[in-house]
Amino acid sequence: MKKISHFLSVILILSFLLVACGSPTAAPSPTQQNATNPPVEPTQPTVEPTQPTVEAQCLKIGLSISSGETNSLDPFAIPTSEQAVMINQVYNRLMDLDNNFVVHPELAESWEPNGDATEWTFHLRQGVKFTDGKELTAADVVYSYKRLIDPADPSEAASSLSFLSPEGILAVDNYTVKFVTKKPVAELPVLITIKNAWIVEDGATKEQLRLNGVGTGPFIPVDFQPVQQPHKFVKNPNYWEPGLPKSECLEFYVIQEPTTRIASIQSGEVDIVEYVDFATIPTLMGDPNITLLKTSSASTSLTFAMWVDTAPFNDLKVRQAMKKLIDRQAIVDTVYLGYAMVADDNPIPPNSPYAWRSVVPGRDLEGAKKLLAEAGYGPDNPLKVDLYTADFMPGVVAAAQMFKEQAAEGNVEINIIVGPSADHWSNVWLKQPFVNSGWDPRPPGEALAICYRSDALYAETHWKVPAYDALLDEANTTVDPSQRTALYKQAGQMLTEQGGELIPIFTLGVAAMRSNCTGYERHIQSGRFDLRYATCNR
Amino acid sequence: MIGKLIFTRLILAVVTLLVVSILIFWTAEVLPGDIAARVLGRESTAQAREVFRAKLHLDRPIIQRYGIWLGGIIRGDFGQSLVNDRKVVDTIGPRLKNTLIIGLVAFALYLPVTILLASLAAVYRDRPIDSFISLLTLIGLSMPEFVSGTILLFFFAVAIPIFPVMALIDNAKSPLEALRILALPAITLMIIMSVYAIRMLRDNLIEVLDSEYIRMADLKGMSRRQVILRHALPNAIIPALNVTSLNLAYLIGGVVLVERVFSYPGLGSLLVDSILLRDVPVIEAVTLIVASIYIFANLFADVMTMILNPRLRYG
Repeated sequence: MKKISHFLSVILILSFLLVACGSPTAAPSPTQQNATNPPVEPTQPTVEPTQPTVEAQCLKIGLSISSGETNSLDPFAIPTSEQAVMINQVYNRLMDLDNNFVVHPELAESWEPNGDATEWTFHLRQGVKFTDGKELTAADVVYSYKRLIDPADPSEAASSLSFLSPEGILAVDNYTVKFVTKKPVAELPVLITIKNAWIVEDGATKEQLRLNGVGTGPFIPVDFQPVQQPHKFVKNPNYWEPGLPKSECLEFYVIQEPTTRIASIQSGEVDIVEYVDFATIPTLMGDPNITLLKTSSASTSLTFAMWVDTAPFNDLKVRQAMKKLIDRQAIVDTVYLGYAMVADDNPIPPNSPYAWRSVVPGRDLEGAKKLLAEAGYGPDNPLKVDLYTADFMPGVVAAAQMFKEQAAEGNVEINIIVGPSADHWSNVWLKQPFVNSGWDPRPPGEALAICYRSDALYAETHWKVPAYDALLDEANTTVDPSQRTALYKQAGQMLTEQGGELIPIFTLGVAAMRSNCTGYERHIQSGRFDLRYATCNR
Repeated sequence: MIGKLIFTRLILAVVTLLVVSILIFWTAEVLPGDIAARVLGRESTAQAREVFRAKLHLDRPIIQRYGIWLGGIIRGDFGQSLVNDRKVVDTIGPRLKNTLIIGLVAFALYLPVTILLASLAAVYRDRPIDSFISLLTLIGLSMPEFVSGTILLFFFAVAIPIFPVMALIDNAKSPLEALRILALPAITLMIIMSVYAIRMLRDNLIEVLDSEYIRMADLKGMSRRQVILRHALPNAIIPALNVTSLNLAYLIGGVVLVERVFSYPGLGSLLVDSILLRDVPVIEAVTLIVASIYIFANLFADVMTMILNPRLRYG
């Protein structure tokens, strides 16, 4: 007994020591400056009135989704935003896409099609160097694209690039690349600027790229490991755009818990949070140290996919009634607190130059009731449907529940079945006739095709209409932009009026940045994360 | 005598572990979602998924795969992770170390806090301090750890920033810094563990303090402090040992939420990541490790109880 009490008192003393050590009065947020970082170059004459003695602090970014052990710097497969964000720093693409899906030169300085858009020639920027010193040539571009569509080992981008064939990607000379397609592809520059189309070195293997991403991009990874906190990147001193990037180094932290992400930007441990949960927006709205950034155009859509070949949705009147029943603005205001925009049952946002109309009509309860009555449903014989949903993106289940209430007013009984989100894409989506889904923003040609063409891999509405395909085919071969836009508008109108997709809203992406930082803008594509101009004034 | 008892318990523990391993293997098999689709991504081609399945021998019968798996574990080989080509042991190792570190710190806080507060409450029974401690433990009991963790986070990392928000223990440059990083998650764990133990130990202490031999000790003139430390506590602590052993096991396995709130790179977050990625070998290995710790912590508590309480040795 004596021994035990001695033992206990020793532990007691020890633990008080521990507690005392645990709360030092030292300054918060230690600057964990990497010793290998190059010091700030004093030659820069730019206007930066920061304290000259302060060591260069890295720009710190909080990411939301962990890739875990699958994390890799290889653009071959980019399943999470964690990976996308880091790959964006290491490589360049031939072109960049802005928020309206207009292409801008990047590694390609200029490009032109032949008369019928079956041959596209790209002229590369000269003198661009990979971070290992090798100069960028056409061979690298050819290899990068061939790798993505390799029939023996196709990447996740292969289906989006199905109009390309390995024989049709040619190096004309050191600085000229030609894409030859069997059929005309009028939007080829946009379509080849997909999220995987980063240019790697000729011959680089998956194993090499996984941990040693060598690219031409603004930053260089420092001892990259899949699971690491933080992931460090330093400025590429030989980056080809003069004066860029503005930050000396980057640190990426994966913070999966939304409240912790908010706490970390409020405490200043990170400068940018790439993804802000809708639920945490009110907390940040009142913080003077933080700027909330929302995308200037539509981000991911929320869809209710109805199979047009399966009862009751094989009746056009039922589909149209569903579209009239939903109160889109109420979902924007209530579920998304205004951080969303009303959509028009087709994948083109109403504010896009490609939209067939820019004003979406409001809810029409009487019109819906009339259509339902014509289809044989009414108060005595209500339409009953099962809706399969899951919390795969914020607000989905809440929006589904709102729709249930709204539909009930038109005598439509929606039975919501909420499944685990991990299960949704593999066991529910494409397998049930009425499900929630969502699509990231895509260029108009791709957005209209990816799940609505007759041969689409992800035909979530079973929409197989030859006349619709014909419109897309025609648009694909129409080189004149205004004529092409007219065709897109027709296709969009067809989906709105007859299609099986009820798209009530597009979400807007929201990011947060400390108020002392500038130069970062939330892009509509979660895969595009441009930090070239981002910098903080400390 | 006690040797034989321990031996029997040990055998029982191993049998339990074997049953658990069957359960784990079977549960991992029935996890919803296609493994290939999860690992390769939603937009992967059917062809790529076929290749992936064949590579993992997912076509073989489940009993055969269980045999291979168990055989590997006995040889200390938990297999290869599905999502990277590293050995499961290499993936788990650093995470297990982190979990053990935070467990140790939390446990080191837990013991004195529990004993101190329980003794105070018992000695000053029904006085304001007892009511206050009782109120504190009630609040602690009714608050899930992610709530108390988040509250601590916003108080001591955002409002008064003395601790970091992210507990990135791998980047600690010195033991002192490591303690600062560990403080908030460790305190959160300590709270959730000690609230129940404090209430239990207090009741035991009160019972013991009412007994004859404590009166005897009082009467022979021992100081109150000595009475409690020498006579009351050792006797009161025995029933609390089982709670402690369960807490110990909870520390290793149940810290998932706390790890998530503090972005702590431990075993719990690895388990969550692996479940999301359907990395079955890692899921199985982590669960088995947690189960073994659970079983052996209980075994340890049983043995300790037997050693401390001679009456149980012949039971």
